[in-house]
Amino acid sequence: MTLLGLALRDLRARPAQPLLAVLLTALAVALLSALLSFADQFERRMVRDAAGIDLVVGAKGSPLQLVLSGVYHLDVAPGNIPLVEAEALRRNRLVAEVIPLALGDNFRGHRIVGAGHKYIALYGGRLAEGALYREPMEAVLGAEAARGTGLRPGDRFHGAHGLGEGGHVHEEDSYEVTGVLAPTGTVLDRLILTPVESVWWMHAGHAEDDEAFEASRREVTVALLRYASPVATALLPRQINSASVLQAASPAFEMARLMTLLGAGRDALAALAGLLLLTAGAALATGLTATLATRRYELAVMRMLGASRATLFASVLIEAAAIGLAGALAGLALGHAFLLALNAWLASAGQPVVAAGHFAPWELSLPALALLASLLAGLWPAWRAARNDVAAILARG
Amino acid sequence: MSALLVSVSGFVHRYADADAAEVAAPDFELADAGRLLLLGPSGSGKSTLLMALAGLLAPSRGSVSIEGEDWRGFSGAAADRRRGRLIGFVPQEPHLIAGLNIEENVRLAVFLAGRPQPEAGVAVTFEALGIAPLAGRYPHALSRGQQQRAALARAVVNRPRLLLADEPTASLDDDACAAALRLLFEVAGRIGAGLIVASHDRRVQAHFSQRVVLGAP
Repeated sequence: MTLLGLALRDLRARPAQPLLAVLLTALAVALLSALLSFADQFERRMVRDAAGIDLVVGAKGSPLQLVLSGVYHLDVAPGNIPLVEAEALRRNRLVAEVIPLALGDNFRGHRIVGAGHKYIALYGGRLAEGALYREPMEAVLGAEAARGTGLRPGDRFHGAHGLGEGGHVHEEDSYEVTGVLAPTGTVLDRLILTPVESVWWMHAGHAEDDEAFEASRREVTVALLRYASPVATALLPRQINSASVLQAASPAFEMARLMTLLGAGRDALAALAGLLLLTAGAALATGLTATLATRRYELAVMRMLGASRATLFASVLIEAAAIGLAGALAGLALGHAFLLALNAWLASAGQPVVAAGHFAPWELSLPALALLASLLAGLWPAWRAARNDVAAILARG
Repeated sequence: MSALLVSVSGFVHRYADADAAEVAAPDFELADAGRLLLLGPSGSGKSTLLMALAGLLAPSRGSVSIEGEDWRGFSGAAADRRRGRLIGFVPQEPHLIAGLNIEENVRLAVFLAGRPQPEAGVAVTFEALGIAPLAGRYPHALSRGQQQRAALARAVVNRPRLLLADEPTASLDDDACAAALRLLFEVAGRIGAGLIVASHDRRVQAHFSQRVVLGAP
């Protein structure tokens, strides 16, 4: 027999009392767990998707919008830019690499991105089956896009205008799937990739049709840049923003700004979880104190049998700890069940998915936090149990 | 000649509550393995004296010694350990722990006293009290008589030197009263423990040759 065994048996005998505290602790931990896991995955994804991209160049407008559309494919781009302007950046000695992207269409919510093979290489994309595109109107699908659309190499599909479902379908031309990429854990997984020429083909008309296909009128949506040297960090954005019709936005800077904005909401949710944890602690303290009233004879008999005050103090604290840990474990399970549901919902909407099984580093300290809260809540009842006037209780029979 | 097990001298206890009456007891001694009845009406201080004998209450004046050592010489954990080793207590109500089955209730006493008993010792206690078939059952599933036996098993499993019983015959008919006393004597005799019974039940008097009468409050 151990004090832990004794505490667990006592809780089993009176399951109603700790249930509210377990439930409230579970809700608090679930909220914090889901929040931490989601935020951690979101930030990791943001960092991963922007890795290797120092600057995004596009049309003048909101820099955040430019980054969200050009790097994360989550928003509509402010506009298009002349290809010649993007190509001119290659000649800038501060620029190591330029990857132009042409956006505008989608297939079942998956964006069709006109890009060279360098874009696939940027994210370490490898073919799972088939081959990379060589000609306009050929396409390679990211892993999630392939799973979501069910397309395989050799299949054909029609793109729709716009960046979400419901746009005008380009019935006149179809893409041919030449390959499917292996999962990369990056934005590439959600995209359908094709040569930039395909996008021009769909929107500017056919090359042989008219002059719209002339080089001077070609446009791209954004250009992703990699700096040639650290000096570019300070010079290049200012140079581009002041001396051209283009806008340059730093993904790192814009995402830091976005995180600050989102941070307020995250902090509010964390405060709510903290309030729930406090309520759970109050429920625990009240419940344990109420139980002590019914257990006072049992505790007095334990003293008579040789239990010290410290033993009674410890036994009540162990009960509190068991309640806190049970709540924490239930909360972690609940939080990740919520992420599982969120995952299914996001996947059906073609949005970046979250892994229900991902645990953020801080999340693993939640059981310790719940344990600490429950121990603090158990201090007063434990002290009362230890200080009971045993003689008076037993003398009263 | 038997060794002295209990010695009470000049016992007076005054509760902090100003309205409570002062409890006083005449001096008495109990030899090793002896039997003594604390007799008195309700409120006379029988239970208070039992608590002092168990070392759970320090009298305002006087001394209470077990095996020649005053409880005042022990404090905190040392007193708790001594109580677990020397004293067995049978409360008026069984007060078994609801979440533990009967065997676990009895083993709890072994655990709290910190004196590991051989398996055979626990089993013998169960056999002696005729509760072996009840070992796996929970208190709520037992009759009051069975609960009393389980409480007695819990009190004697550590083979205490002194067994204290508080109103063991309260609300029992004559036959049950006699049976309860027989059982207490038998068990105390089996383990060689002294026995002090606190009771206001006049039927009990005839069973004890040594009596200490406490006055009305």
